[in-house]
Amino acid sequence: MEAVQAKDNILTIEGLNVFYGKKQALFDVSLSVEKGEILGIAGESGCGKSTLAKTIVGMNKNYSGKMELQTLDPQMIFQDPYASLNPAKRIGWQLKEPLRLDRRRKWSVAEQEERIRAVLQQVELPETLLDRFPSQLSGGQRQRVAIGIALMRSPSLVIADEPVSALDVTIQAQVLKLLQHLHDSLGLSLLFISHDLRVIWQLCDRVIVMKEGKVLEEGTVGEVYRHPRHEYTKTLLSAAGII
Amino acid sequence: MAVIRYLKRHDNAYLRAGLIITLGLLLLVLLNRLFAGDVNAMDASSKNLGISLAHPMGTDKFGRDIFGRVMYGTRVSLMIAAGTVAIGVISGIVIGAFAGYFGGILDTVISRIVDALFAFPSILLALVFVSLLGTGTWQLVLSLGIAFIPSFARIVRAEYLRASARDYVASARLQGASHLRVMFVHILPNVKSVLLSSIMIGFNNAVLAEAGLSFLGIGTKPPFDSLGQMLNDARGQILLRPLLVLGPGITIILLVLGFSLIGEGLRKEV
Repeated sequence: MEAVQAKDNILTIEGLNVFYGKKQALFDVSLSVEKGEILGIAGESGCGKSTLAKTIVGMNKNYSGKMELQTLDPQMIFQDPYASLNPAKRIGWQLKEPLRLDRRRKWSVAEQEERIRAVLQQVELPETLLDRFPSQLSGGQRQRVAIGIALMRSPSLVIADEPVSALDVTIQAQVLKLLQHLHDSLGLSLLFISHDLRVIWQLCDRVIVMKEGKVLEEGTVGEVYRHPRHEYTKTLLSAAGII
Repeated sequence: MAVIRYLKRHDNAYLRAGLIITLGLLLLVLLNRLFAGDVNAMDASSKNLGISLAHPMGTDKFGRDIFGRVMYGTRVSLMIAAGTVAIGVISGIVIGAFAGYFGGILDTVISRIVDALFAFPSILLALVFVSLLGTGTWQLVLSLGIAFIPSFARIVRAEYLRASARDYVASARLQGASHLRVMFVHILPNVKSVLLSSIMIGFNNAVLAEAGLSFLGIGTKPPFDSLGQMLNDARGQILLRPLLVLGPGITIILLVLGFSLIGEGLRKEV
């Protein structure tokens, strides 16, 4: 089953170098995300996965190299749903914020309500949650809200930075299923960052393995998992209990 | 009614005691404001009276009801304290928010200035500003307010420093929120609870600082006699008419105690 049909890329990165102050965090990274594809980025913590995500969404401007985005509004899902929701604001308010801040169009109150209902349905949350604060929600519910916030303006590219790492295993499976479903039904392109190769196996079409800010290996998940070319990839795979 | 319901729900003795003292005092002040006549009216026929039903604290040498004047002084003291805290908190929030949120050189510059101001006791700082601005009620409020900015700015800065590293801030920026919107719409509500208890403590310090300055004779001017001003007036008669001192003195203690307890109670709630 090949999810890759359209050949145009929503994101193309060539020779990207990213710096934190004087320190360089990414070295000559090249990758591309095709429209409607799920690209996994694997690697241990500190390998530059999150730096890459932040650079793509424009939170880190200190870089050199070519980065071409086919969308103006890439969204991001953060790792820790306990930190990515504002503790002092109600869920409904936080879901509305992307609409209030939308520069492309104005949303009337009725349109906002309608959009919120639609997104809640997509992330499978009841409307009763709208009046609650994040502290009154479970971890899985919070991450669904965070996904909902990312979806509010119907983005075509979403970057998920370890979106399930802070969750229990059972909740992980649910959230992964939700992401898969959203990808299928909305045609989302996903850049899925994870240290867990099992999770990437479940969800992704292609995978990039990173180490110390460099890309080691790239290919479809089947290729890379069956015939890893790099020693480091083999280590990761055996650590995940796959080979 | 809301207060009573709150007390029933919350088992917080500090907050309860503080609210009872403060609200009781405020109620007395309010009743006095509504039903007592001119507290500054002099009456030669009732000079230096002792305690009676008509004059719960007796009268002073001009025949003025001491209780009424204490209530009036409480009002003046509270208004000065409120003005002081308002200036201190609003400026402190703005300065602290910019320093903590943006960090870097801006933070270094602001923090060093705040630290330098912090090295002086705020009452000394207020004295300097009073001597620059002159004496009078609004000059006093302004001087005390400026003197209170550093302590609030420091608290707010620390909170913003902590908050600005959180992902919800990054998320808000990603949605396209401006820095100002992130600072004052997204982060400020998270600082609220910490700020509230320090406002209570600030209120205390303001009441005490105002009383101190007025006692030294550089505070309020008649007829706006604050509690400190009343103490100053009564200096010569401490042994003769102890109620002239005890009235305002005990009221200051109750005010400060009430706010301290509320502040402590709020801190425990967080």
